[in-house]
Parts: sequence; structure tokens; C-alpha cells
Amino acid sequence: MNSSTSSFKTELRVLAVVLVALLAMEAWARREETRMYDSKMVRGIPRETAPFSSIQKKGTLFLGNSLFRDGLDADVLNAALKTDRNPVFKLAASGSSIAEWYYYFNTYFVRPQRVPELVVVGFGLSHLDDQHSVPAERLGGYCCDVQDAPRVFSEDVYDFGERVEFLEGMALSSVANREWLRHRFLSRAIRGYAEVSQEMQTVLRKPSKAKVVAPPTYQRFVRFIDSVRQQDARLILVAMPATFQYAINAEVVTTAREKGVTILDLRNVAGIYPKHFKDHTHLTPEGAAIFSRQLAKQVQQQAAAVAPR
Amino acid sequence: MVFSSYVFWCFFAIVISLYYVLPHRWQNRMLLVASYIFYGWWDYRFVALMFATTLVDFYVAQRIDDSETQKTRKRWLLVSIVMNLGLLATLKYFNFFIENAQGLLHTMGFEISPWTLQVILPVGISFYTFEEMSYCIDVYRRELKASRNFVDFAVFIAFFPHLVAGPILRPSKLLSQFQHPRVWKTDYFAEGLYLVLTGLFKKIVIADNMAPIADYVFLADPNTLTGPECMVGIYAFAFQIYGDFSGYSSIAQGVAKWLGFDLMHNFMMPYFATSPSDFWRRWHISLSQWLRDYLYIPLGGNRGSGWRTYRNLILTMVLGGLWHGAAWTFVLWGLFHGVLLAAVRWFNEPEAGEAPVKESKKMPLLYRLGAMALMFHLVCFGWLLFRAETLTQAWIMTTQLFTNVELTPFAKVNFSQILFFVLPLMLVEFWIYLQDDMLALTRVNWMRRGAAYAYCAAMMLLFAPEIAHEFIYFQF
Repeated sequence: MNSSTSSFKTELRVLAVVLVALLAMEAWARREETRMYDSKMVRGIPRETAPFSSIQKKGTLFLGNSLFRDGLDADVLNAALKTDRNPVFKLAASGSSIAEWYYYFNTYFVRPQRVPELVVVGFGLSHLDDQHSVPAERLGGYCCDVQDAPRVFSEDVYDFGERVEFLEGMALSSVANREWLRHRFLSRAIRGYAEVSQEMQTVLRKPSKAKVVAPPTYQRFVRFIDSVRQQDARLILVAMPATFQYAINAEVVTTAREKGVTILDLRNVAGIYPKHFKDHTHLTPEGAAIFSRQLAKQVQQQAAAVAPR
Repeated sequence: MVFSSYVFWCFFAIVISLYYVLPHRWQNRMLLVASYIFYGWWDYRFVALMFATTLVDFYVAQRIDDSETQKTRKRWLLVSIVMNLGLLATLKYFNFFIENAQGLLHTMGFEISPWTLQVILPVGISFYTFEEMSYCIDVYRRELKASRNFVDFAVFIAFFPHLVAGPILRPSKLLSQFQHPRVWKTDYFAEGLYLVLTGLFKKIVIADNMAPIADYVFLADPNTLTGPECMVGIYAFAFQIYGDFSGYSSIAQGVAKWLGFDLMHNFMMPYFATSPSDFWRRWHISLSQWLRDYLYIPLGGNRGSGWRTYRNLILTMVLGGLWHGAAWTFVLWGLFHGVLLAAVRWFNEPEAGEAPVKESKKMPLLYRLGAMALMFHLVCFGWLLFRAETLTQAWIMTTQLFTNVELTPFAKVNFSQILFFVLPLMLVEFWIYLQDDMLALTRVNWMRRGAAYAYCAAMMLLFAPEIAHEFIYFQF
């Protein structure tokens, strides 16, 4: 055996050590994943939404992100809305927006034929914009099946590297949950990390003054509405409260009106004050209870307005 | 197409698969095509510009070589220098000069509405124009014979591993490697793996995680920052630029090694430098050597009186600063380093011919560590000038450093983050520094090496930030 072969073989051993370490890390990530809110929620969808399949066109789905996660009080909503004929389910995936909601709805409700009668979507400042970032690895890990890949690649994820991340996210928990694992690790290792990193992200995500920002577009929003309407389900959009004033884009309002979608403007809810927010957008449990009562009331009014079908 | 992207590694997999089934001449042709594809990936229009300058310098170098009289040789050399510097001046510095002239005239009471260029600066233009110039100068100095094979010359200029961010390789070192069949050395695979992996680690884990901290501080109103917050931003930028640039150079070196080419080390643990001259022998070595050989020495180097040497040092460093970009902050950064070099030289004339690394290693360890800490903070002050958007921002941040010492949660959290990401790298680099062998890690037991690489890979997988930043030096 010459020295070249020997050197190459040694490096293969080195790479084998790396591979073993990465596999161990993946095993650790899969174990950690079971403690993650989003993971528990998404993995629990088939079980939790089983009643949707047995009751034809009944039930209410609350679909959103951390604004809904923190802003909806399950007890209040269930007390107001939930009956045997009207199961209520909340799908609130952290950091998600219109692109992910579309795939969540299709993967977990349309495909297994568990379409609810009413879909209530909570949105904030830019969650309906096409420009909102789409984390490919999470899309792959949580929202989509392999059969969605062609549609994802043609409509949502164009960059080659992101497409690879989408596929990696499908296969590897350490990739799909990277942001969460990183945040969890650093939050434990460094006191105050969570608060400081949130503040930094808010500042760094603001477009710079010098940068010319193109007006937002809403193709994904239209796609989502069409997909809900296609299932003969009703859609209500909820503008969520915040400590600051934000505008609902005129195009969102026009599109919703044209397609018969109701927008509930709950940006300012009586009884909710800045003390009811954990930060500028996420409600405290007390704020969530007030908000949920108001939301449940308005949803009931909307339901009454169209009943009987 | 950046080294830290999947598309690059797919591209490289195709290149290397074809490369090893082709004979030598076809290898060069294939590398030339691959390099132009790599460059055109940013903007296909840049390819035409690079091809045109390559063609001119190929022809000019032959004319220099073939000319009998010194006068004719000089004229042809002038053609190359005017073309290359003219191109840089137009694309990179034209607007800077115009805007400054406008400002100057405004203060004198004249109002003009000058015409400015609306062009995108071609990626890596400063790197390849310097290489082309050094080629023509070397031929002029009769240190090199002009290449008669266009493919060899064009691939030397466009060779994709070092094209957009260096190292700025000397024709005598690289061109000859294209002219002869590559000789595969047994350690190339292991060395390439080490260089690529550590390079990716420096870019993805160090640079990209330091970038948001530095961006946050340098985007903020400097009046609202405390001294420790400014310090955190400067430290973060120091490690961002180091991880970014040395990471790129390391990947370039590793990728080239897998193709059978030997590129120079562009960085040799610069933050362990004990003096300004030691720093410049460790930081962006290829640019430092270029400036020394084609600017400092022709200006007279240290051959004249003391003052002439100081002037040459400062002028070289100011122009080196300006090479990085058209802004006064870069000029000031160069001036700062020039003055630092001159001042240390004035205080402590180095012994002629003594190697710098050995020189610093003669010091007792404690003294050496003190010198390293001092030099690191001087370099960091330079980075403040380099990164600041304006001179006012640099001034206010400097003032805050010494007047407002409140340790905020932001400063504490980000100091900890810097330690978490950077400390393991610095410890390994200090061990390499003590070994006095840049590839020392490739010589340790495979199990230990595997553990080190596994750490790098795991960190890259778990701590790759949400937003990847482009390599900083592409804009130069």
C-alpha cells in the first residue's frame, strides 16, 4: 500500500468520526424535538383533528403564528365556541406566515379530508406579504410532504441552496429545528440571551432608510384564500393587536372583499393596554383572555350572520 | 456563487470529476471555462471586462518581453498600468473623487452638478487587476518570461479559487503550476480537507454569527451606545472580518489543493501578532507582499533617510487602505496603520534580516502575551475606523469607549456570545502558533483530528445563522 492510499484511508477514518458525531447530534436533536412546542403541536395534529373527519364540514381552525400562540386562551375559546358538533383546533407555529399556513392547511386538513367549516387566521404587520421570509428547512420539516416539493420549488423556494435546505429539513431534525435548538442552547448558556436577541432581530430586520423598499405583493395570500374557498370553508382574517399602530394594506382589504373574506380588525381591543403585552406584539395570559373573549364574540356574530348555510 | 453555498459545491463536484479524467492541457482549458462560469454567476457582463483586460495584458507582456529598448519596454508597461489603474479609478474611485471635488468646490463657494457613474463594481476587480499588473511588472523587470500560451495565462488570472477575494498570487508562484502537469502529493487530500473545513467553520460559525452583533452596533446611533457596547461591536467586527476573509482564503487554498495546486497562506494567526510589522506579515499576506514589492520598495523602501522610510511606509499603507474602498474611513485606517508602523520603527529599529516570528518568539511568554493583547486592541481600533460609516461615527464611538462604561445586558450577552463562538478557535490557533506549523492539526492522531472536525461540522450545522452574509472582501 503506497503512502497516498494510506493518507486517504486515514482521512476516511477522520470523516467516519465526523459522520458518527453528526448522527449522534441528529439523535439528540430528535430527542429534544419532542419538548418543542411547535413539534408537539404539529405531531399532534392527526390525533387532535380526528373529530374533523367524522363531522362533515364542522369545526373551527385557528391558524397563525406566535401571535395566536400567546394571544389565544384555549379555555376561553373552547367555552365560547367548542361543542361536540364544532371542535376547535389551534395551529400556531412560531414565526410562520402565509406561505407556511397554506401548506399546513393543505397537508394536515385538505389532504386527510379534515377540512373545518371555519378557518380563522391571525396576522400582524407583514405576515400576509409575499416578501415575508420563508424558512425552507421548516417548510420541509413541518409543513410539507415530499409530494409538495415541486409546488414549493416553483412557487416559494427558488434558490438552489434553500431547496437543499428544504429537503434536509424533511430528513433531519437538526436542520428543521436549527433555529429553535440554537435559541434554546444559547438561552440556557447565556443569561438574558432571549431578550437581547429578540431586540436585535427587530432592529436588524427593519429595512434601512437608504434602501428603496418595493411595495408588498400578495400572490401567496390569494393562493391561500383560493385553497380555503375551494374546500367550501369560510375564512376570517384577524388583524392582531400590538403596542404600535400598523396599517392593513389596501390590497389585502380589496382582495378579501372581492373574495368574500371577512377581516376582523382587532388591532385595538377595548380593555387591552400596553401592560397586556410581553413585548410589542405578544400578549400576556391576561391579555390573551381579554382578546380571546372579544375574538370569540366576533366569530360567533360572523357565524350567526351567515347561518343557516 | 460563494464557497459557503451548496451551488458552489455542486459546481466543484462537476469540475473535479472532469478534471481528473482530462490530460494536462485539457485540464487548463476546462479550468478556464469553469472559472469564467464561476465569475459569470454573479453577473455575466463582468466576464467580458475580465476577458478584455486579460487579453490586453497577455499581449502587452509579450511586447515588453520582445522589445529591445528599455524605452519601449517602459511604454508598454505604462499601457498595462494605465489600463488597470484606469479601470479601477473609473469603476471604483471616480464617484468618490467627483463627490469630494464637489464638496471642496462647495466650501469655496462654487456650485456644480457633476456627472457621476451609475455602475456596479465588478466583483474581485481589485484582486485580478493587481495580479495582471504584477505579471506585466515582473516581465518588465525580467524576473519572468511572458507567457506565450493564452489559456495558461488566462486561467492563471481567472483561476476560480482565488479569483474574487485572493490570495493575490504572484505569477512566478502560480503561472508555472499551470504550465506544467500537476504533481499530486500524498498529503494534498488531508490538507485540503483541513483547509476547507476550517475555512467553512470560520465563515459560517465565526463570521456569520459575529456579523449581526457588529451590524447592530454600527447601525445604531453612536450617541446611544455605551463604551462596552461599542467595544462588543468592534470585537465582533474584528472576528467577523477575520473569519470571513481568512475563511475564504483557507477554502480557496483547500479547493486548489484538491486540484493539485499549492497556494500561499494568506493569514497566519494575525491576532497573535506582537507588533504592527508582525501583524502585516500575518494579515492578508499576499496584499502586504504586493504592496511591499510593487509600491514600498519602488518608492525607496527603507533605503533612504529615516524620514523617507517613514513617508514610504505611511504612503504605502494609505494606498493600501484606499485599495479596500473609496471612502475616507479606509484612508484613515491605512494612515493609522502607516503611522503605527512608522512609530514602532522609530522607537525600535528591527534587526536587519531577522525573521519576525522568531523575533517575537524570543520574548518571554508573559511579555509576548502582553504585546499580543496590546497589538490586538490597536488592530481593533483600526477596525473601528474601517467599519464606521463616517468619520463622525468613528469619533463618537471612540469617545464613548472612554467616557461611558455602563455594562448593559446587550454588552454582557454579546461578550458571552463572542466568547462562545470565538474562544475555541483562538485556543486551537494559539496551539498552532506555538507549534509554528500552519498545518499542525493535519499531523495529529486521526481520532483527535476527527473530534476537531466533528466539532466544526456540528457547529456549522447547528449554529449557521438564519441569514448568511456575503463575503466582505468581495466588495473590494
